[in-house]
Amino acid sequence: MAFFGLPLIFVILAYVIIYFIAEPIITPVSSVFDMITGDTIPDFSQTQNTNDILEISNIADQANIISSAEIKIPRNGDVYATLTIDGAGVNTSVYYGDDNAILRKGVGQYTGSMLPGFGSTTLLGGHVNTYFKGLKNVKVGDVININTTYGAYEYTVTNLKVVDYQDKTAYDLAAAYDNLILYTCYPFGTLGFTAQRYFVYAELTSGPKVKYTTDK
Amino acid sequence: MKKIIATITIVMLVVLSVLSASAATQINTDEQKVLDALSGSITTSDGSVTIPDSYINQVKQYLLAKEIDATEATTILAKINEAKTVTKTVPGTSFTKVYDNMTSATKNNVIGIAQDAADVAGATLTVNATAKTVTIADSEAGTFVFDLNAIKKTGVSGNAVMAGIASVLLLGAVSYVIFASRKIALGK
Repeated sequence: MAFFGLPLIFVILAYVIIYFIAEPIITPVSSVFDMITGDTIPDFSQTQNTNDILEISNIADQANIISSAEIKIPRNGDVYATLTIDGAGVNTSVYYGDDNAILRKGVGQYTGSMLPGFGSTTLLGGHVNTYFKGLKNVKVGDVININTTYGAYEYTVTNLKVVDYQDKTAYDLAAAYDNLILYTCYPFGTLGFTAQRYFVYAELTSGPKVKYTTDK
Repeated sequence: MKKIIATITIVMLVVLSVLSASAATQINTDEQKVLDALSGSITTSDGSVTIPDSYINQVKQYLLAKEIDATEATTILAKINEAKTVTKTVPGTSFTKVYDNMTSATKNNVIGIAQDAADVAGATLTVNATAKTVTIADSEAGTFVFDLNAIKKTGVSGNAVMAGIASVLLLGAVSYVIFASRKIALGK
């Protein structure tokens, strides 16, 4: 008992103390362990309330133009859309905001980019080993569907590129047309910090335009 | 009875204010003037710079969640011009470099002007110089964090992995030391 009990009690006590201090560090470790040893495909389906997201069976049935006064602007941390890329295995919730807490739960929109339909760039980031795991399967010509709380949008992939994460020419936040940029870390299998990002560029092919100024 | 009516009225007002706060608006003519002033060039001592597009987009989204009238817009425009006057004496070829080149007194002055402008709109502005973020907290429109860092870390952190492995190894090492010392003590 002396040889076994005391060390075991110490280990348990130390683990409990360190767990509360180091939980943000331990979580990714356990995720990595699961990724290495798991023999089943992990389920990243969302459990958040997505009741406000529109279920539109025919995208063409939507109004062409909607007013921003009719929609609810999401707040930081709100789930405001779902994103699917059939054939690439991407099916995830989209949050407004992209801090660490959000990226652990889904794909996050950079708040310095505009919402879909607002006539500019929508920039979405997601973790390479979870919600954007399927991004590597995306090809030019693939269709991306984003169903928001105010309309359903369809984009067509036009380009794929690997760029340094500090390269500001990889995205244009002042673009005067609706476009979508998805990104995740690159190379895909790398653990730890990577200096590169895998960018998927897409242009809007269908979805309501949001009129958000009172100018005619 | 009067108390019940008063309570119900208060509850309804609170509910309605919450509901109205979450609905979007459109950017009116006065708010567009504010956006135009922010989008224009800012003269520095050795050229001119512009406010990053990400900040402009975030201001747009803030104004979509918030209604500003003509009087408030006029005051905010005056504050923007006041800040632009200050930056005329500061060198810099980009927005962040202009901020970095400011003396502490100038930074405090510009931040104070920005806080006054936010105050006009009924919001509180705070600056995190380390993270290079600006936060606007508005009881009506919500909290907006203006962040220049567009591309986030989207992989598994290497530092987190190393720290986690180190924690496990440390636990194992300490357990072994205790086990071994007890064994030695008993062996004596």
